[in-house]
Amino acid sequence: MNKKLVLLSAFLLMGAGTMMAQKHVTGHVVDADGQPVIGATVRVPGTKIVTVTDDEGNFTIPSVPASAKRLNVSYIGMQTASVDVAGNVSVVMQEDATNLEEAVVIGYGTGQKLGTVVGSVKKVGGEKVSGKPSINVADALQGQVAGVQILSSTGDVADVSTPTINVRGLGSLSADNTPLIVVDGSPVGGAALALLNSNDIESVTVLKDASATSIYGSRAANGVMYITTKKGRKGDEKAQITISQKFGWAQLANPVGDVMNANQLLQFQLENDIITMDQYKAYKDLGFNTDWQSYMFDKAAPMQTTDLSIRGGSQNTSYYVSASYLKDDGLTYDSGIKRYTLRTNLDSKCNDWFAFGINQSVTYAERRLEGYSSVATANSYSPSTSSLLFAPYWSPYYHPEELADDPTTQYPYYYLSGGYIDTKYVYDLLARDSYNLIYQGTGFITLTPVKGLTIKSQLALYATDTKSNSGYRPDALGLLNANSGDKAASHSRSSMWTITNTAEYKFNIGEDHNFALLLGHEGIKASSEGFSASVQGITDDRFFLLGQGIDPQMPSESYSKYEYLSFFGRIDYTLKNRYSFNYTVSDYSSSRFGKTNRSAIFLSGGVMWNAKLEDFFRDIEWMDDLRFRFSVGTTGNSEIGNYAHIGLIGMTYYGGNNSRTPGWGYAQVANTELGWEKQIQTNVGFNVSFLNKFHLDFNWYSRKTKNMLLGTPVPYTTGFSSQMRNIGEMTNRGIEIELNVDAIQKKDAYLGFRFTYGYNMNRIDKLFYGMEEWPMYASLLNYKVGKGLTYYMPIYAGVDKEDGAPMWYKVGYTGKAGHEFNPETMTKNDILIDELYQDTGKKYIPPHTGGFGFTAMWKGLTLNADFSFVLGKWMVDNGYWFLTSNNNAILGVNQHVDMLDIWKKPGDLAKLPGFSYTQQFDTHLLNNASFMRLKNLTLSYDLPKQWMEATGFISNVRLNFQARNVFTITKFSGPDPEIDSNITVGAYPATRQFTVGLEVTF
Amino acid sequence: MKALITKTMLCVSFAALALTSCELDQNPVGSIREDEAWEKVTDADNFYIGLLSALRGVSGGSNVYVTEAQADLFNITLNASSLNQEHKWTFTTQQFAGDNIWASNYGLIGSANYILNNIDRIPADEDEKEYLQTYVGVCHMARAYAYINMLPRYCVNYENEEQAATAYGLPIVENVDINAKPARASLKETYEYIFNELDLAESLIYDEGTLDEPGLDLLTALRARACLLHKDYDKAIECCDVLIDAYPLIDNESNFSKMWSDDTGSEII
Repeated sequence: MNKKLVLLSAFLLMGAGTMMAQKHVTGHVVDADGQPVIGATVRVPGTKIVTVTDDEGNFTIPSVPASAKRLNVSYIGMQTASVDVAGNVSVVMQEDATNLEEAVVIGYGTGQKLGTVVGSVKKVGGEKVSGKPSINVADALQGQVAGVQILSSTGDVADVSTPTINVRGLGSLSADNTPLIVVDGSPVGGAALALLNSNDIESVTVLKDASATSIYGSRAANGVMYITTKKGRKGDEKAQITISQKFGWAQLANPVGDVMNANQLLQFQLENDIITMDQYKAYKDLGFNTDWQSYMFDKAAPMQTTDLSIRGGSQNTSYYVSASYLKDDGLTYDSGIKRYTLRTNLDSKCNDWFAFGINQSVTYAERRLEGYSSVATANSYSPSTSSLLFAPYWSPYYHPEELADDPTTQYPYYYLSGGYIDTKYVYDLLARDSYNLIYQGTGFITLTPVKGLTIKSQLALYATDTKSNSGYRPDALGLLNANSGDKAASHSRSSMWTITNTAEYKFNIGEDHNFALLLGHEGIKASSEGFSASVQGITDDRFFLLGQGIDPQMPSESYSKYEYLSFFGRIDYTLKNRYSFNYTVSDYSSSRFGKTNRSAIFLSGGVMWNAKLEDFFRDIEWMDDLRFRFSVGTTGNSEIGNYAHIGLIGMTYYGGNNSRTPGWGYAQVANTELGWEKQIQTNVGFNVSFLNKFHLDFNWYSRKTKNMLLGTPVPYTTGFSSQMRNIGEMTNRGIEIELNVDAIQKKDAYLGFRFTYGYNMNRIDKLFYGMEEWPMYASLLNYKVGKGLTYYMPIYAGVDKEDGAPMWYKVGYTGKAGHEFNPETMTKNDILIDELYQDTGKKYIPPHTGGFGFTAMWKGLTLNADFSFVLGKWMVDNGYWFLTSNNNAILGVNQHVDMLDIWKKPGDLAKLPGFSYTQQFDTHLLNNASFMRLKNLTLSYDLPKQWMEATGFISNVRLNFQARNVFTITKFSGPDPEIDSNITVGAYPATRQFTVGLEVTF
Repeated sequence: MKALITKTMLCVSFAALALTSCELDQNPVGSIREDEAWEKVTDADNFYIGLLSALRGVSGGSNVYVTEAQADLFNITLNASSLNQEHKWTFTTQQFAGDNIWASNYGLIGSANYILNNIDRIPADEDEKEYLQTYVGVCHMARAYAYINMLPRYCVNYENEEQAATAYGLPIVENVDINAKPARASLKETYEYIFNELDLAESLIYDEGTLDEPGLDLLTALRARACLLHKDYDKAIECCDVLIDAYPLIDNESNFSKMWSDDTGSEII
């Protein structure tokens, strides 16, 4: 009995003990200023218990086991705090200097919190750019950053050329306008945007004004795109393992063109005496109506990606490792890309004064391009040209036994009527592969011998190795006007080494004065080389190596090198936490310039006033944030060839390929004065936030380019055609608006809207030789002083309704295209068409760029839509000229449906002239290419947390669906309004892509 | 400890600075710097071959597209993609080599001027100087050739001395100067210059020349053309007669048919 009592009480005690072994813990987390930290992660180490602080910094953990003694609280930019378990805990988090790189990096140094940056920068989170259907990171940024205009000029997935990226307009007419792209402190080439794994990206920060970019010197005039990759997490937390798998399909975003069907074309050709009645009847009997666009472009080209990433760390070391495989088929037959990537980021704090890190990635890609597409060349083998020109009454499947029996006179099945070739047959015989190997790595050592002083030495390498081959096999005999097969192979290699040493000292004087001083130096050594060789006279498909052709051609080789050296310094001073000042000075030297003007000094200064912290604003409850900023500074551009300043003798050849004698010729005249293109940029802006819901960011900027690097035309009488000089001036002025509205912000529901808009006015202020304009007839463009880059073409005045002749406005007159001939202002004389070229007033660079979108979250479901728009864009549709030209129609090719409505008899109010008139290159081809696209649509669902906890080892399962370029609104007549070119005819059109994916996190 | 750290810092920073021994004077591989180009006699040989290449350039390619496509016994098919517009006479001056003839001929003049301006930079003894004079002769001939190419295309026809004194000729360029903007000389001055150049060349060139090297025969042919344009018909006939005797036409049937079928001709004219 006593024993039973003892046992029972022991049980009861034990029971009580186990009941009391679960503790209910609440807590409050604040930062060093006493402000609540929202969204801090609270973990119980050794268990899977984790929670997040709410809007007021409070958290609750209902059942902390008794064995747990401590709680870890972590937040980006703060040192992880570890506190004892108690009923109610109070946690104060301190800022972590070394982790601030995750806040924002504005150019060397250890970075700053986004809210105290003086310059104009915009940070886009990784989730906006990673895992998107397009492999090019820049494509996902379209419409996300005000003032940044991004245009992709091809839909070919295997094409890794850099899209057009203009930050705040066009700064230079001859030098490159792409911003400097930096990955973890290492400058990289444009191909990195497509070949680095976008899932590795933590954030992309665009630095726009002089205060932020001046310290970068070279190419800083075009802005800087700073990409930060994901890093591991320090602290005693378990690692995060993520696996994701996506499947998708792609199709054309827009139809390539609006051409006639078989019946319409046969009718049209009969009426205009292009075919005889017998041929008409024969084609009608065969009855084909081929949809060439569907034949050439797949409607569901497959793609898949697999990603694995592991992220974790211990108290002092953190790591991030990822690997991915991507296979993306192009829309055209037998084209596409396969990409393998591997990244390892390692970061370790060895003791209290020594830390180091190594971030490396390797990418290997195999690419097979479409082969014939080009933005400005009408190659009849290119699918976007041939799908429009091939007559719909031809069929690729019609193989008559006897050519003589065929009244339509079609040739063997790969030949279509009129000598056109079905490119699908040809692709099998082509070699057109490229292989890219890219290495990008950064290694650094950080020393902190005394508090506040950080010395960092970093070495970065960006290296590429590209091999490609092209050619066609002998079975293409006679098809492509070839006598036998030929083969070409090329190999190129490039490397860019950057060494950066910086010393940064942060200190405070009293409570009110915070200083950060930075001194640094950087050297860049870059070189590239390559060679190519080709042979003709390959006789058998199976002997397809370079040494097996009978007729070797002269090989070619290239080698080029450049170096930069710079010294820079920066002072950041903040007074009372609300007045921030920033000054930078840098001295850059480049091997691209002559000794006289080799180096240049760039300065910048900026100030920011955090008005909200002033006494008179502090009490205004409905305003959360008010900051004003002003900066002015100089930056430089040196993106020209590497040897443009030297007088050079080159090699020429006398004699044919088989007996060449080499001779010398004066190839380039020296320009010892060649120097940096300088730009002065002023930026004025403010940020304001209301009611914790509305956030507005506004900037006004003015960029003045002086000593513009311009390929100046020289009179032909000199024996040369142009020379690179510093001549000319340009201005870009505009405004940027970013508005974010958090309409609903609840615990498990969120609805937010976003709108960005940038307006840019580009104007040429000065040209060479004091000229007011410089028309370039071949490209239909004009450099016009006082205006900018405008189109230069005869202005179309319509079709005379009496005789069907096309009319043009005389020089000095302009107006709309109509139907009445006014002899005073118009002329019909097309022999003198050259005299009718004049400035059309339409600008090449679109002034309005922006985007808008919304994000909605409810429980685990997220829906996000992003639109992007470009307004005021004009482009010459050369393709339309081919499709509405009687010169072409008589060759038997298909024409645009507009040709059904050409002028036929007096009194007709027609858009196009009568069939007997030749079409000219006038403004009826200059079309409005403004567009708006639903760029990205994402729907994702995270399975409920309870299910996750039930499994015990899975922490998140996410299903997602994404679509890109869902629909486009545009009036442009060509296949793709987004292409960045003055004239478009054979481009590979943009694609629409859908993906469905599953992501599991352990 | 602190001293050790300070020393380490200093060492690291010095080492880092040393690692960036920058070479800001980069020279291209595959080209010669202009200031190192005239150092020996063989350099002149090389520039001469470059001049020959320029001479050949103005006589073919896009310089002759228009004349060949329009006036030769050359007919294209309906579907031809190139030379279509030239053949049908439906092109504008903005297309197809309107600028090209001017640019390539002044390029030839530039090559010739460059040699004439710089050939004295080469340290040479008496024999070598004489050898280099042949090159000087060919340069003068090349300049004349270029002006003769351009005259019928860019200037009005020569009528008489009075008309030529007031009509526009071509800009006379004798030096390579990238900043020069020469005005057009009168037609009379242009013709005088051409004949002057031909005479200078004649005094310096000694052999008849071959298919690959210009010589006195080419000079005579140029003189014939210049005289034709200048309406000195007698002198033109005289020059032509010399050449017709030196370069006879094919006179037997089998060679004649081979010339058309195999493109193996011995006719120079």
